[in-house]
Amino acid sequence: MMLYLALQLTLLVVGISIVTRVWRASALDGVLCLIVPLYVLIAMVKHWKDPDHDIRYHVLLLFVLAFGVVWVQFRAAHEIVADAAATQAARREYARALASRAGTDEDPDQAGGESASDAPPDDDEVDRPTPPAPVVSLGGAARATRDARAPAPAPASRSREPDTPARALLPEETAPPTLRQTLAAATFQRGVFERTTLGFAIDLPGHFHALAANDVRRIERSSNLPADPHEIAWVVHESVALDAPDAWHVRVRWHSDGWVPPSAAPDGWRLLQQAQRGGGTTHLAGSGGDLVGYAIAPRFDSGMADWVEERLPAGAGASVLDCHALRLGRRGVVEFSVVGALPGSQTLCDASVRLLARSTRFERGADYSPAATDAPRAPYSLAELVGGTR
Amino acid sequence: MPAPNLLLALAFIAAADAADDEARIEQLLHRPVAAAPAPARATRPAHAPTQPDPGAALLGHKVHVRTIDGGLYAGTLRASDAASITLRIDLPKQALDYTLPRGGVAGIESAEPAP
Repeated sequence: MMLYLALQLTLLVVGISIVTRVWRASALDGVLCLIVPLYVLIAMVKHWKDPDHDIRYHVLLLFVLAFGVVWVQFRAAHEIVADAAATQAARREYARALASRAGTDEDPDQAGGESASDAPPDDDEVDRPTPPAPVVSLGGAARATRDARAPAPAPASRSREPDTPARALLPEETAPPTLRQTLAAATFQRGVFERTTLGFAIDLPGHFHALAANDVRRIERSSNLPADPHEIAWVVHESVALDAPDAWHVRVRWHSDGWVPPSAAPDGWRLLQQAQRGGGTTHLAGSGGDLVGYAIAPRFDSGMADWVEERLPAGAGASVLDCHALRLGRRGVVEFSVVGALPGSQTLCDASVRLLARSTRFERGADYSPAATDAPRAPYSLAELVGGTR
Repeated sequence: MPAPNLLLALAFIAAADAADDEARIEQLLHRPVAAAPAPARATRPAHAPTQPDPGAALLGHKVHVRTIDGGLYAGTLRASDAASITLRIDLPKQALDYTLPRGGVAGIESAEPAP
């Protein structure tokens, strides 16, 4: 560092000397030497044979000093990099030693009657023998590695802090957040719930608010529910507490399967018969098990359908209701579902999912058209999606 | 009717439907306990017991049952009285006895083809 400062100071003096000599011959040349890089070479040539203003030796000295400064800077940069590498290696060794101590419960320091802090050591505090670390030795790195390999210094330089064992985390600190904590941290949105990447928005009705997918994932994790890749939001009535035993919410799911071809509204009895026969793939959220009947038969509107299924989940002693509404788009289907509602609540849950389906609007060019489009075609018709028959 | 007027009318109808749904939801969520619909047994007309049971003739037959909420249930009619009807619903893996309150039934019709 001192060498660097000395070189810089000498460089400054030589530079001033050059400008002064050139200035005496020509003020313009002096100014140009100050502001135009390498103009000193022109001034040197112009006054080469003028003994009063000759600057050839000054320029030579200037370049030598400049190279010296660059060399010192380059060397310093290498040392900094090597020091950083050595520090990392020392910290890795220290962490390894801590891990092995925790595993074998044998601490050479404690065996020797000494104590040490659990914090990683600084460069100058590596005070125990360590095996050679894979460090690229460049300047300071070699020194740091040598220091790391050196025997322990005199006890006077060692820390005399009492040994503070790592505090074991309390069960509540290691446990995942509870449902109540997750709900407290969640952001309930009102107004318009937009999914611009999918090309639609939901104008949330006045008494409803929505939770976006990231909050939904956290809630599902805290409730040990499996993650649903189709799920993009939950919509909840403001009077419903999600941690209450009788809580219900509308799941908003997106099926990017493509354009659903229009089909004539199928006969409800036939749809029920086909759905009860099973064998198809259920794309929609639901309680599973068997379909007992339709608490509200499917109703088909332009680009929309809504219905309520009464299902007997596998192993359950009582039936539950699954309420669905679908809103078709050009590139897929938005699904609104209430799963596992109590029997008798079909009017409420059907009105909720239907209201949200009606409150959904697609962006221009993403809205549904019964005419065939250039969008990919979904592998099912609307009736097949409703009945889960394909 | 010109197309813009037709679209306007459809939009108005959709908005009115949405408002109806919203009002219905609030009504259902906040209805007082006293305003809850009475049990089916209490809503039966007083002269009902004296009338013949319309489901009696269909006992043992496959029937289609419509509910007052627009629901559909299909099965074999196993029992029918003034309070409820019971269907045997055959599902792929099991058969289920399912009871519907009489007050919620809008109609029962035979599902068997006419001879």
